[in-house]
Amino acid sequence: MDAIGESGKKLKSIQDQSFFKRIPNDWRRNKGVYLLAMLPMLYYIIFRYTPMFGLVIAFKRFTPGGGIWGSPWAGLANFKMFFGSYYFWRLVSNTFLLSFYNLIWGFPIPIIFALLLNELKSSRFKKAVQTITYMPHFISMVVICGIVLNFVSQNGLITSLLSYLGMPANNLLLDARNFRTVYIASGIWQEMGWSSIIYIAAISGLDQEIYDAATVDGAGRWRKILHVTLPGILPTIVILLILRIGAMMNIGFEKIILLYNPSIYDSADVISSFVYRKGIIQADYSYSTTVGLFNSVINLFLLICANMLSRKVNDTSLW
Amino acid sequence: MKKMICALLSLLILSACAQAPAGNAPASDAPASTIASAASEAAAPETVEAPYQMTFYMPLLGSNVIASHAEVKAANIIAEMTNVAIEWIHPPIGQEKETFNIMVASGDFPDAIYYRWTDYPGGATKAIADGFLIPLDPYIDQLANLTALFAEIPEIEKQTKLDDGRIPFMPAAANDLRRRAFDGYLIRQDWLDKLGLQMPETITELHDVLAAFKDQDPNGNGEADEIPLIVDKTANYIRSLASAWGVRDSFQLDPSTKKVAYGPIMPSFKEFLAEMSKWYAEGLIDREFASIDSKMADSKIAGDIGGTIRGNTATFERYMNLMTDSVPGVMWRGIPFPTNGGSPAYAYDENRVRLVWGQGVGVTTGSDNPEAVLRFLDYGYSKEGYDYYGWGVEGESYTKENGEYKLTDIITNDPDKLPTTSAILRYAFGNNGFAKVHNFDFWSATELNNEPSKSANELWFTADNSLLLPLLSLTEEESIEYANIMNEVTTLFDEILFKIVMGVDSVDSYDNFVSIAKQMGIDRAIELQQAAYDRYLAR
Repeated sequence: MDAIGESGKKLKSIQDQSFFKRIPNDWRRNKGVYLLAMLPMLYYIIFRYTPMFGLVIAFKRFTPGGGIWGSPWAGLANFKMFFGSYYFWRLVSNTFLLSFYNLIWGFPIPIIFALLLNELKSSRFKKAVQTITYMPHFISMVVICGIVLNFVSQNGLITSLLSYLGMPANNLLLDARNFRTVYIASGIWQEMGWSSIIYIAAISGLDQEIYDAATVDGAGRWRKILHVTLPGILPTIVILLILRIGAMMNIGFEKIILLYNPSIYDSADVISSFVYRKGIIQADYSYSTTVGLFNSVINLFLLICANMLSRKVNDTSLW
Repeated sequence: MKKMICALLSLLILSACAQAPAGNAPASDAPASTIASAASEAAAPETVEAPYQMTFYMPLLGSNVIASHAEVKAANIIAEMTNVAIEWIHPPIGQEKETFNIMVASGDFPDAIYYRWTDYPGGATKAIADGFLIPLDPYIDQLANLTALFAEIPEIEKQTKLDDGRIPFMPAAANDLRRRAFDGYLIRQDWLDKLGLQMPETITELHDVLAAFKDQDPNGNGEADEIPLIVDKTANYIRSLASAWGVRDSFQLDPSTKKVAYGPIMPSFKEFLAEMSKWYAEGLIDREFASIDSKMADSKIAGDIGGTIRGNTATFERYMNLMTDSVPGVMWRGIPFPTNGGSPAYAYDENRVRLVWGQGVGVTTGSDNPEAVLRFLDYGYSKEGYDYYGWGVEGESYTKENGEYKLTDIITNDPDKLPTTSAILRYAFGNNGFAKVHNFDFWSATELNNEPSKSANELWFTADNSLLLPLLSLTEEESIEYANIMNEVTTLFDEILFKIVMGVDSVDSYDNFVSIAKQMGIDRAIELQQAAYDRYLAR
């Protein structure tokens, strides 16, 4: 008893001290924890925060000899050029539409998949299904896109199947209208199993007694899913949805540049692929940073909006 | 205490892991420096100075033969003689441009870089203005061999130097324009013979031949699976046909006015697009060219379904090796550049008029000892340097009798059945680009070693060069303005080209392209090019 009282007193006295005094004290008490926390912190400082200083070249005319600090200032010239560009609206709307459809189709499917898996009785079959659906996640993007390109080519598997159904046997990726469908469908195929893990974990954390109670109340499977499982994993869903919306305009360039070609730029060229072409291929570093910065600002804005909305609606939010 | 030790240990292990990949990257080039430095240590008695350790960035030639240029004996010998030790840096194959641009942005420059400097945004002038390359004329005293070459062939000097007389890099230079006539279209001569057709000379004849390839089953498998014209996703093999209409897909000279023009907005470009769109609709052009790469194009050729492709003088030997076993009687031949309604047979490839084509070794501001680097590079322009880089090591890769050079059996009869041009890489750079003279005689002896490529070279050399511009250089301000305009225009042009050829958009949408290109400022870009051309003529 005595010991607890003493340490409680000690804790209180520590809380009274100023922040900078508290740190060395706390350090002495919890060295191991601090050391462990240091790793992710270092990661964020080195790989996430330090590179942000490089954003300054969005306001400069970057030259290799001058480097980030020595290059001449350009003011807002890069921004003016981007907003006035012939491609500005196309890039923004392509990026937005692709992420929007990706969210609409890609977000619910892992949830539905997790719910379905949860209803399976045979655990061996369940394991087998899980393993098979995880597998595509571990295949490198280049290989996935190679497979996709092959399947949708003129004599490819998918094109041939579609031609049996009476569609013309043309390479799907030569028609701008098909790009989003191919992109999103292949994404769902690749990531469905992997993204469902977190929901399966959330479901398995639900209290079995609630299910028992529901059974007693006469609820069938469908009712249990609707009134027990879904509400139970709703906080998880909301948090993931917020994160997803925050990254909404953030479409990686890798898959895009592996799938697209100039004839379908109309629907396939997005901000990130444009940044890649500008920055890495045409070596217009400042301009490409400008476009990337613009994209990040929109992302931040979307994230804040989604978070606010979610806090208002159901008290679940990131901060 | 125990907890702390555990934590510390895990930290150590993790940081070790994190460092490992970074440490590995240069290590893969380690053999290079060890071999090179070993070689130069051997030479140490003659020179008191320790060899200068230089880093050299260059795309790897022939990855199937050598793993690093440290294995090229000629380079090691010359490095030893000029008292440098080279650590080679090779970008991943297929990502040369990306790797280069990232290296430039990183601020960590190697001593020397072999690159196509026209690919640097704004060209070599801008590379100097950016503080990336050092101009070489202050070191002219050390460039005795290059100066001698300039004196011997003044045209090389004119094409190497910038408008203001500075030397931006150590050029890869050809001594004869015949050496530059290596690019053209190849056709299956055996298919022509089988169907009783003549070699096409006009664009109409070419169309008819391709149509016959399509319909008359020249590969004889009973299926209409032939693809008359193989094209890959760059669409380069379509673009270059535009020269039959007197236009190019980029800047050119207008043959009637002798002024600079931008081909894609010239009126005859629309005719060209209309014709290509017709060809595509008729199935003469690979239907899915927009999504295939050059490897897939090659596999279509090897599969005996391709009738025509654009290639170069080395392509003949490559395709023959690829196909002799599977396709009996296969024969590829060069097609003359097609004429159209009495027009001359215009050539499309600018390289044909350039003894210096923008490739070469630049010395960067990151070099601590440009003199040593240039000492090494300048040797390549001497007679001995040429022998080393071209022929390799006397007594090993070649023999010399009465002034006549002959490759040895190791090279011409490679145990792994490598073509001569590849087998020589263990000893020399051969025909590949480097800071040296690209000698027509050597090239002729190795690359034109088969009849089809030899006659193709003669045929292609006779084409009309009046559309082609020399290598121009813009000033720094000009190049920024020019890049801003052209980045937008070329993206739009690529799109419109693909869409019209593939029939997604009608040929009339071309007019829309012309008006948007004008809004984007194409006329200003033409002005800048004209000014650069005037400066070139005044050199």
